[in-house]
Amino acid sequence: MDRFTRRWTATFGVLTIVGILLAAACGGASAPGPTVPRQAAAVSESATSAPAAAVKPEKPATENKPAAAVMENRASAMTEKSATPAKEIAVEVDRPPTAMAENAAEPARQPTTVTENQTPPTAVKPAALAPELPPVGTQTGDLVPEFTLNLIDGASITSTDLMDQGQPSFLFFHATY
Amino acid sequence: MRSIKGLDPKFTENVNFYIVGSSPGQTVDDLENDRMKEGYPWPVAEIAGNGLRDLEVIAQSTKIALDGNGVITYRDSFGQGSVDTWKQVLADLGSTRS
Repeated sequence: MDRFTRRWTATFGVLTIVGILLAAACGGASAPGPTVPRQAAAVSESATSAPAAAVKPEKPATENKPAAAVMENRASAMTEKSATPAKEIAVEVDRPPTAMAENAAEPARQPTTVTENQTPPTAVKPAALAPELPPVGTQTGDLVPEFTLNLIDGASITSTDLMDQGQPSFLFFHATY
Repeated sequence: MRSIKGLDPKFTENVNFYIVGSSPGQTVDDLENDRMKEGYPWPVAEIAGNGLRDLEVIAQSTKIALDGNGVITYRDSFGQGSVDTWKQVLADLGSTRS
């Protein structure tokens, strides 16, 4: 090796070391090789993986959060919302007993209203089971007209009383003369 | 009244049997006095208001039998029916008692 070659090799080596040191000082790649500006390196990465993240680095970090992190945020938000009714329930419980009694009475009234709007089955049943009574009259087979008997002890008994009791009766009309 | 006196009271045990005045002028006291004099066991009563007219009782010794629903099952007037007939009527009424 001649003198010129040794000098060139030494210069090249010095330049290489200086380049490596400069690259290290700038925070770049420590690996030796061609020095590429950072912005250009970022653009080249974004072309293959995540363009949004690379092109708009100034966006808030939350937008670029992983899906798991987003779901965690939503879950915590839902927990906060569900905590509100729990507070309301706690307020209901803390009400005075009279207020609670009023509230307890309201649900009891609501089913009654619904029942009134519907046709109660008991309203049909008696009509279906009631015996068909004959017309009112005075002959055999007729329903007897309403009458009242005054007894010797001052009591009175009506034909309705007799029917309510389901008691058969025999009336013998008598004259004392 | 002579004929009803021949009716054994045991046939009326399951029926409300009343001796009812058939004349508007009779009071329940008149009927009671007659019952005590004649010695029959059934209670006496006077019918209130227009009961005689409503039931079309126009003669004494009218007999009206009612079942537990108030339906007339037997009716006879003066001189009609017999002790045997009434026994059967009373037996039928007693068997339908609820």
